[in-house]
Amino acid sequence: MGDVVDLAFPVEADLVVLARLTAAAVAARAEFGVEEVEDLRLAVEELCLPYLRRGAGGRLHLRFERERGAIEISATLATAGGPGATGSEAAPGADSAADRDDLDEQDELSARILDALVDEHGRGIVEGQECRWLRKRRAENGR
Amino acid sequence: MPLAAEAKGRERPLMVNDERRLAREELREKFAAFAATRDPALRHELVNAHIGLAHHLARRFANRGEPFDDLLQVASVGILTSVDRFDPARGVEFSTFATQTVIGELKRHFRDKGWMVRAPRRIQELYLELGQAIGALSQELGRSPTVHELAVATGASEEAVLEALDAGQGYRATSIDVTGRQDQTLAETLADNDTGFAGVEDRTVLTPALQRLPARQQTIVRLRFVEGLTQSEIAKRVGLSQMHVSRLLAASLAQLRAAFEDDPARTGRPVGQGPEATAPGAPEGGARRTDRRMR
Repeated sequence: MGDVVDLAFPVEADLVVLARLTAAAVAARAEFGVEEVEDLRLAVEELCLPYLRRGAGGRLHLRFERERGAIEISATLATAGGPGATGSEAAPGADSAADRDDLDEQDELSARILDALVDEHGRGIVEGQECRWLRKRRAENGR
Repeated sequence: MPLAAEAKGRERPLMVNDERRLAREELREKFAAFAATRDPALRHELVNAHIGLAHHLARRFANRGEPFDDLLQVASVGILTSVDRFDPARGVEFSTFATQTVIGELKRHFRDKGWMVRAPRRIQELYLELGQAIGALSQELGRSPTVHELAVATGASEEAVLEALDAGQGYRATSIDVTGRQDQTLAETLADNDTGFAGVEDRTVLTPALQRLPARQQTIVRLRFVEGLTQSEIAKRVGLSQMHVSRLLAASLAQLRAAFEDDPARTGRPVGQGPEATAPGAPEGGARRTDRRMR
């Protein structure tokens, strides 16, 4: 009975609100508790941040999947350069080692925040595109 | 917007990999030394070394109706607690441990403020403010105000406005499923809700109730909902702590609500016989009971 919701928007900080609102709506539909909804809203923002930090350009595609009391959100970037150009490599702002170092540190913080908010998260390559994903299960107590 | 700031700016001095590795090694040694000696100077140094983390995490929770300074304070206390509780022997990085702790503290802070629970108080307050702003702006503009205009008028983020507007549909905890209203815009639905007869009736009931509040509470309610000041700004203005202002606001809203619920037109009961119809100058102790009810 999985639900799939797709959302795509230009990589702009002001539009991350769409990701948060969609996450909240999907989580509410899946009967997540309000605190879990709040966690998911924060988490999806962390998922988008690495792309924003790199000023990646292009469109961010988020997929929200609901399956048996869990929600999985995955983010992939569709850049103007076509498939193969990933978020971390196509980074016009990050041209020095120090910049890259700083970005890594920020990503590290995002990962630690995700540790605190969701059950699992990670990154990988899907069809030649870098994909960051997270998964949160609904707490079952009292349901 | 913190997100935008973060995406664009790099505020901290940059470190190259080697330096960072060195710094980490050094910190690890210091944590080990602190675990053994509990030396206050070392504790101070370790807390200071991680205060940047508190900034980063507090910023993640900004724009939700709590002053950033308060969040930073909560996050900083979280760092302090983490330094005290961190056990380097367990093989977990301090940053991992501290992030979990600080996020926990920040979430608790919002929960204690009634933000993350059902019918969050902040949303209720904002909804009341929006009611006024929608009325005023509709008259001024001759049309329904936009979400952006409402955000500017109330000092809240657009997201918070959307959420409060939706929550106002019936104080639902979850917010954005606007089913069955496709033929109307959200703003239209809301303007209807607030400029209708119910609003007039509510104000008629509330005005005398407001006048029954102690003078200081009247002032605080006015500063909050008429002048739109934040709790911190009010605190400065009236010379109380922000916590105290928050408690007084909660107490005042509860008393207003009680007067409202006791209104004979709604309940058939005479005014003044409700359990919380507080007389002027009554002690503020009523807040405890109402606080619990609001959570």
